[in-house]
Amino acid sequence: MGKDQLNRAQVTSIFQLIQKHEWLMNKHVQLLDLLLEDCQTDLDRKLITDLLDRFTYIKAEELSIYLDDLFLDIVTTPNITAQNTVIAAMAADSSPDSSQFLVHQIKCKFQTHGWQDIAIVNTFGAAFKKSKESGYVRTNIILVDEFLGSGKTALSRVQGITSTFKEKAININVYVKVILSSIVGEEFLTNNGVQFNSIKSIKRGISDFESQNQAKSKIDLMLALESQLYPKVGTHLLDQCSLGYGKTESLFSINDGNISNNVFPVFWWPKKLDGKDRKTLFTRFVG
Amino acid sequence: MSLTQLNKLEIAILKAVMKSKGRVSSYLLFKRMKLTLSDLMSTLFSLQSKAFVTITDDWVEITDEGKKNLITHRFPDSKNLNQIPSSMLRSNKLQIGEPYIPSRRRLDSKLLEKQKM
Repeated sequence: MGKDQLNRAQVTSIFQLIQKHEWLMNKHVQLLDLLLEDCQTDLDRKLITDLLDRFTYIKAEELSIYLDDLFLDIVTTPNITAQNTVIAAMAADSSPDSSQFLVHQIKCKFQTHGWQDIAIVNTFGAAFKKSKESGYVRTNIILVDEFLGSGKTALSRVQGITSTFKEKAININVYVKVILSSIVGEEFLTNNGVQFNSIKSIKRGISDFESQNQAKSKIDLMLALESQLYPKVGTHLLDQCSLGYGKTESLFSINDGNISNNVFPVFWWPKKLDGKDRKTLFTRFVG
Repeated sequence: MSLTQLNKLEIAILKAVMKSKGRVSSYLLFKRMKLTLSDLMSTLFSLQSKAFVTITDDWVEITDEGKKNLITHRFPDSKNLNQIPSSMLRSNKLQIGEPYIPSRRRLDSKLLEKQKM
């Protein structure tokens, strides 16, 4: 669609969208590219506009409030003390990860509130070592992350830690606590018996907002939009990220950080089907 | 009154809004200005951040501050066209009376003929 052929309703709706969501103001070039180049029909544009209306965009100052809430959630967990607990990032290795950023951010809150004896590590695997150092006094392991997507990674971490301690015949309590979580992930962890808490739940962007029939037709529309994307970028396969990794249909961004692969790829996938670069609303390191 | 620098596009848009009795819909502005929507938005958001226009829903309105600044910018870029830019001036300027080697090509040929005689 030629950008000069825009009608009144289209121009008005774009202006209204940006006025409603201030964070889009600095991204209007990318937004126009998405709405006017990638979207072929008014139905496509309506879908994207609706999804942006449902988007949770967390600014730096809001993140600080969420961190306070997470801290409060941790310290008010029954039977938790600074001496019997290890806080561990969900990260598995030295690759940069948002959970490591999170533990880095939250550790000063423990210091401020007299919880300086608590152990904090930046990989989940290091939790065992910390517990062992304490003579297995630290038997409460709290795994933290910014976001819980499908829940599969979190479950594997919980199972990994539990089996490591089990080999030493030590009973532990493992908790998963995150700032944001997808409804899909919450259900998955709860069904698998994991002790889980999140500060804010993120509904599925389409399925949890529409009737069943509407949802199906809108998901088909989204899949048609995704079919215009290049099938593989870096280590990411479009098939796996379709509708967001684990079909979580997530709509959130934290302060323009590395966008989660649980978010609909149409908002961050960097290449078009013809191999050309896209101007995307969000950025993800695709490796 | 403190003067905020405005570029030509910002001035043109402020003028267009002013001409529409100070308030115009974004669509009408888009049609009148014949800009891409992206350029129009960039400029409008820049003017909004300077508090020269307000954007409500899809209506653009010029503020009192915007009006004042627009009037101040009636003669933008009033540079002296006869002034040679410093980047084009030679670094070593000859002083008056200072000896120099003349260009043979530019010398009067008759002068050289006299010297041969």
